[in-house]
Amino acid sequence: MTARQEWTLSEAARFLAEPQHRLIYLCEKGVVVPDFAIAKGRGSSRRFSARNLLEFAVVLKLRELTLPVDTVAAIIHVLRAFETKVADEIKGFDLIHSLRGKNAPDLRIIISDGRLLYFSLGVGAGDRKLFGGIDFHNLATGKIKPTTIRKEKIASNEIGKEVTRKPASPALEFGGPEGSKHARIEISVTRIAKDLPLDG
Amino acid sequence: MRAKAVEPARNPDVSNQGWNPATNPAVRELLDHLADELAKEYIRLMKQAEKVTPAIDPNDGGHRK
Repeated sequence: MTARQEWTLSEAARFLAEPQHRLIYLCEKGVVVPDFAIAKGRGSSRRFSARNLLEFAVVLKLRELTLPVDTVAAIIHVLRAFETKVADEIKGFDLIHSLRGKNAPDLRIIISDGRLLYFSLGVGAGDRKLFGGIDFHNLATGKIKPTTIRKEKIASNEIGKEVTRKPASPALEFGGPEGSKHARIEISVTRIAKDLPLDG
Repeated sequence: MRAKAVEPARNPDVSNQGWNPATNPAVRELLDHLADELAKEYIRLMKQAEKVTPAIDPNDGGHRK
């Protein structure tokens, strides 16, 4: 269990080894919403939860890979909504402790060919399921409305359907289960959560 | 050199593309649907792990036989 419940901005910055202004920027952009933000007079005091620290760690990793802020905000939104939905079913659920637990599902974020967002879930070396296929570029340009994307992209990418790895071929070996053609970024949220030094 | 409170706006990498879930309800709805599917699978995996994993004895350093 994590002993600490709250971190101030300066503590969070030290914990993550990042300058405070980067964390402030991410808060001001609405990417990370402090769980214990307290407005005081003309100023405000941001206080962060362990969940916020995980969000920052994921965001900073994605930003390191030069993903745009809005893309990162969308990813963090999914993680938050996902945690809320699981907590609706499992009392007391909290994502960071769950991910740090033994036999925790491996939750990954995949950016395929610089424009398609997927998440994948699996345990150990077993089969993984792939979710999503949201095209950020089309969303950004308004070419496809989100409702259309849900129908055409998510459904066509068989959301929730088990991914079966096909026999190896040069193209498939590179592309991962989502079938990236030229480039893919894959980040393990579970691994990031496990590596946060929260127990010290 | 004075520390800046924000990243430079001229950096195209940080530009607001107008589909931030915080400001775009349609995008938020789409992402919530994705989160819902993820949550169902996560719960299924957690329940599966409970069935497969025998109870852990805390007096045994968390190891299972």
